Amino acid sequence: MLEVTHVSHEYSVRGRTVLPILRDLSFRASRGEILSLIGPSACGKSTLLRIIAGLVQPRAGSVVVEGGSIASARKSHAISMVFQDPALVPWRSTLANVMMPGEISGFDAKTRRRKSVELLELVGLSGFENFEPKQLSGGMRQRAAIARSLLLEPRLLLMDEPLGALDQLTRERLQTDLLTALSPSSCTVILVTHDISEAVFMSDRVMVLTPAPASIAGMIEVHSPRPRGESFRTTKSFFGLCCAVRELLQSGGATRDKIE
Amino acid sequence: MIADRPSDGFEKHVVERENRKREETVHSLKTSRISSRLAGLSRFLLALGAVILVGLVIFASVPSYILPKPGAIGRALLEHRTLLLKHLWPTVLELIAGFVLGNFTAFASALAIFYIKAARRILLPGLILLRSVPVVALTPVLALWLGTGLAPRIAVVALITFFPLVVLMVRGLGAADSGIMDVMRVLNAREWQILLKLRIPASSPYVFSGLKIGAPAAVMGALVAEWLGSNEGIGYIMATATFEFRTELLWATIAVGSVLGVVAFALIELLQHLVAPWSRDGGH
Repeated sequence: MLEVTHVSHEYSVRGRTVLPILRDLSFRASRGEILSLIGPSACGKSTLLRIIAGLVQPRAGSVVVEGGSIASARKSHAISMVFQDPALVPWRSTLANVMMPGEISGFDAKTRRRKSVELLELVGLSGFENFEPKQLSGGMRQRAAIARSLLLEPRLLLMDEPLGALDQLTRERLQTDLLTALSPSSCTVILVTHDISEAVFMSDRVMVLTPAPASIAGMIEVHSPRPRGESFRTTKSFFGLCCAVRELLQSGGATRDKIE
Repeated sequence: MIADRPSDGFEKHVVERENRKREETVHSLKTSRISSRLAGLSRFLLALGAVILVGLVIFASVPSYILPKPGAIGRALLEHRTLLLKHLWPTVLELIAGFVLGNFTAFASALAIFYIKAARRILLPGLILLRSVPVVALTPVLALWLGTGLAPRIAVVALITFFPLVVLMVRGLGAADSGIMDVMRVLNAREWQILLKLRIPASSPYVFSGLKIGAPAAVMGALVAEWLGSNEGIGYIMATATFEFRTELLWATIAVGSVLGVVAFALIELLQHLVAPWSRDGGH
């Protein structure tokens, strides 16, 4: 589904490299898989996600989506993105915000409306169709943004800390709801997160990155069928996996300190 | 210690963000309280000033050629109503035509400046140069070029309304939320879709600011243009009343001009309320 091969990137000013951020990253994600990217602050995970979205051109390496280029995947509306900021349009109602991708892709008005109403129900926002974004709470806004990202039935969903701005309780509830919302689809999800337990709870695999320039510190598989209930959070294997991710994060940090 | 670094950094980040949020809320609460008090105070001072002024005119013996009594201005308005109404029409016509023409041109120019690099290089300095020429000095020239009819006066109004809208709209087109822009780009939105669905609506707070600066300025432009070279319009009556020392009539035209300015401003506010209620000051 997604193949990232030898991707490197750096920020440069007037042709001079200022900050290398990604170093020779290669990984794959299969159809329907949820893959988390976790790493220390400013390690380049958001940049990696923007490269996969085609918003940033990498200096080296290639990204293949469904066997083709990013551009062709975008043309067929295969890719969708959610950010930490819900980025809803203030002049549209919640429903109209969710419907917007349909206007871009050329859905007819009826389909647009029907699907958006269904999606709002799926993310638990039924009854809020005509609310303005500013009348919604932070968590509800993010639910609306997630509904919007699902409207065109993407096959690759890129999420950049989608729950990062929410409080712990709201975040955990949204994690469960998001898993439920995704379960009927065979959508591949790349989830960038700061939160170890979120990474383990949400994903099939957790990819741990080192501090910038990011390389892969390790890959941890989560063998637990989805959708997962709240009870998964209190299992022994959950704790064990969280510890494994934490150790990888810490060892990655230590290597960098030695280099410095 | 070293090992704790990543999560430490993250927590610090979150705490900082929350603190900032809290500070912002406290700040906005404080400022809103202060501003509502200030608004109350300014309203009180305004009313007090008006009462003192009117009292002074009525009870102290201010000569009527300095400041006529309100009653006298009212009488003048009534007495000269046919004259004023007759001359109100060309002024209103100039205002509407000039305002539409100026803003329409501004809209097109802003799009050109925003999207075409060459236009930005050539048009923008040219506009600033044009704006530096005082309109008062330009009016006779425009009359030479366009004749003595409505055309030169419409041109003056258009010129005055044009500039603020161009500057603000170029800014507004670039002010669209980058997150929404990214969402649309990933969805393969075409630039015209981004323009229609995002850039133009996002520019409306700026556009309405431009229109609100333009509307009262347009009234002033129309009156000045009539004053300088015309035989009709409220500005023309102003000029004759001044030269003939008819103070009551002069004040009546000032009243009409002020009402025109207020109405123009109010119409823009109404339009904003209808078209983009979310974009009004303070965001509610």
